[in-house]
Amino acid sequence: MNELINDVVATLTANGGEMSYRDLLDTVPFEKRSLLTRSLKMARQQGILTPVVEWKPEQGGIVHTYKLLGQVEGQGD
Amino acid sequence: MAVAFEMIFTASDDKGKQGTTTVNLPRTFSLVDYTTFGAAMATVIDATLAGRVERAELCLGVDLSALNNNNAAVSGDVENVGHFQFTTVNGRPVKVNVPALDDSMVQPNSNDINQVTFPIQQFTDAMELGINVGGTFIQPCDVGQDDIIDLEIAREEFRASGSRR
Repeated sequence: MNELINDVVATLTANGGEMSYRDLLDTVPFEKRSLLTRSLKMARQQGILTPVVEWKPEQGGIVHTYKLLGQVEGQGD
Repeated sequence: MAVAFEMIFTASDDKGKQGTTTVNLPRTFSLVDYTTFGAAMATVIDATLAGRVERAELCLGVDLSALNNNNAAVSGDVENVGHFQFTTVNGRPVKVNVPALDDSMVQPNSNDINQVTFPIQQFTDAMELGINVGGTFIQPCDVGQDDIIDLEIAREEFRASGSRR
């Protein structure tokens, strides 16, 4: 699982520290997507990254991204 | 033109049946003002009843015109419910039901909701961490205003339609 978390971190880092969840899903084959979701949850629990859900009507509505911590501003605990 | 807010008073009789009184209110007051008005109006209504005022709730109408693709599919059924159970920072459960769940969100040959799918993950992240609305994070909570932090159960259930609280 640590290897998967490292892969996720590497992918996010290569993309400036954040990616949409949809784009993250597209980086892994279908059969590994449940593992990816679990990795994201573990990484979140370890304080490595966080999902951010934002209301941006000018961009079509909801924007759902995963961000490496240190990239996020203005969020509560 | 923006529509008025509604204050809904629920009354019950001694047989346990319930009915409601709805009062429209201008949108110009503070939450404190509305809650104080609610208690005062409940007293006024109570004086007219041979029943009991159970609760008074403020209903804020929300503009949904920004929703995209907000259409009811032929396959949709409000009795097909996505049942989610979250837990709070203090370990208490919070149950949330989503009627008319899209069947494509459910794992094949199972009643487990597929948490990998984009809409479901978006929903659970919004419930657990809130939504940033113009710089303010608003996070769903339980009745005691404790933050929801984790998803425990996500499954499809079938329930008869009708009003439920």
